[in-house]
Amino acid sequence: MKLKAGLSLLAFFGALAAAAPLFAPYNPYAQDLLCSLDAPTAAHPMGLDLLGRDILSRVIYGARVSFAAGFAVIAVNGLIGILIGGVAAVWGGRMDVLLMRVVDVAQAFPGILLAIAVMAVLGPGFGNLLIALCLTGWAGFARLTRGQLLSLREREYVTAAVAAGAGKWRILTRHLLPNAAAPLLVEAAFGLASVIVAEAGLSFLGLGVQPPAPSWGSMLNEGRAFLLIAPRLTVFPGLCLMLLALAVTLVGEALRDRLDVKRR
Amino acid sequence: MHRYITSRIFFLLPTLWGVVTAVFLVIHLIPGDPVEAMLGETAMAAEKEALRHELGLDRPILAQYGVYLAGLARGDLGDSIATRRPVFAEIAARWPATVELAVAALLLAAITAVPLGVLAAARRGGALDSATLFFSLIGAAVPSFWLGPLLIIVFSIGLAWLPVSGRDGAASIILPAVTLGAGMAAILLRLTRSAVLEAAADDYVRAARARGLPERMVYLKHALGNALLPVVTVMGLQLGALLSGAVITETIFSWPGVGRLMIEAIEKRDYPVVQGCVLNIALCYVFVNFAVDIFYAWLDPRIRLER
Repeated sequence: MKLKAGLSLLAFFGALAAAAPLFAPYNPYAQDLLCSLDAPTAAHPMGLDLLGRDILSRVIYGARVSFAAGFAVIAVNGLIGILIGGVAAVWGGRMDVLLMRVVDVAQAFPGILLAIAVMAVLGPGFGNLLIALCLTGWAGFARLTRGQLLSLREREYVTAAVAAGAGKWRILTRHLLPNAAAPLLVEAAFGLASVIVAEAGLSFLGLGVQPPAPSWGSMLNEGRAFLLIAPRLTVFPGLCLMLLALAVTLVGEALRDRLDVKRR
Repeated sequence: MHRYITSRIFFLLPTLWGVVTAVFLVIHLIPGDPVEAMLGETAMAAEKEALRHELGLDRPILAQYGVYLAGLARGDLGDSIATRRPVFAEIAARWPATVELAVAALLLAAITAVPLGVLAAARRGGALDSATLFFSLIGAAVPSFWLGPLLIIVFSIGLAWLPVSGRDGAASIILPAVTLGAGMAAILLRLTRSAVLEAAADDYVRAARARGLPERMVYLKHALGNALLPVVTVMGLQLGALLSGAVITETIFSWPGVGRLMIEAIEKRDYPVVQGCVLNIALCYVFVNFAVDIFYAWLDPRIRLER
């Protein structure tokens, strides 16, 4: 049920993002200042924004920004985290202690606080946004990978593989990582939801994706000045953002339940 | 207990040092020139040099780091470029508003989520249970920067019941507190429900039932009492998260707290203030987590004896 609902919603937004030019009725950048803030009509079901751009088209293209930021950040964070967690577990000793202290510090920053600070120094933009969100986001993956590897290597099948003469690399890639994959996948799903919301949050604060690019967060920021006369500027992008976050969370929960992963 | 606290402090110190250093590195080492950002690319070279000197940015990085640490030890975070006042004073003036908002959000979340969670668990599988679960899913997914404007549209513009923004009177805190607390309420609701369900399956609850206690007493006294431990812990941990969430909520409602100060400082390129705010919020988060750790160990002896 959860999986079905989540996957269908996710597929819907995925299709919108992938084939945005097909679905969007207009160019999301095309301005018509004479129609500034026009109410919805049959031709423009969500109306027009301040610069006379079609809101529906901008909402559809906005899905691209969310997906691009979400998947890019999670991929980088996952890779860095698995690498660092792997090194800590395999190396052990001082290296382990040192790396885990770094993880502690990275996790000592609440939410998107450090990302806000980094964006303040780097300046807005999509590339900088990715850097800011990757700065501490890998720590959860690192801690999880290390914990998984440490507990998995006590298992009998690993002992059996060692006894059979398998090399370290073979044990890592054939036995340890595949068995650690389920919790990492669940972590990635929940992480994806929070990265998508974090991107929109930074863009909402004016620190993320810059106009005229259509990010749901920056659209919400633009809508703030017109809550009284044009609340639809706020309603539609926010609704999409919430539904996408909900979809990813549902998929994450369904995966967690199916793969029987205990989260901290 | 003393041994446990000592060992936690032993872990706390390197984390504090790491946080302080990470903030320094972010502000000082990231490519990009704060001086140019502050004055604009067209500024005169001499002008840039003067500001760089004033901020101490013309000194070697290690010397800057030393000055920064020494200042921190004295509670000196430098001066604001915009107002020329000490950053410490600027931030201290804003803390009460942030704490007020965070505590209001926390209380609001607790008084709605905990009773609903217990009810949902007591009527497991019923209509109320499904409804609360549905709303907690929505509540966890709804971003504050959408919920806030929606509440303004409905309650400030549509119904004209509550002020749009600012911090003026008791009514002005309602919308910001709801905005900030909604996500936490959703988390607490699900947690309370599952913790009560878990406790309800335990032997002492069955014993209470066998003694003929009414169902209400069984849930309120025995199941909830034992379910509260994880709930209180998560509340504490979430208090720290609320502080960073406050950055966005305060911006939506022009609430004059530390988060709003930070965003204003970013807009004015007032880096000493930005650095001070990040440091303050992060350190507060670390200390709150530390306090929760200790509190948890005090409540549950198994924790402090385990390590």
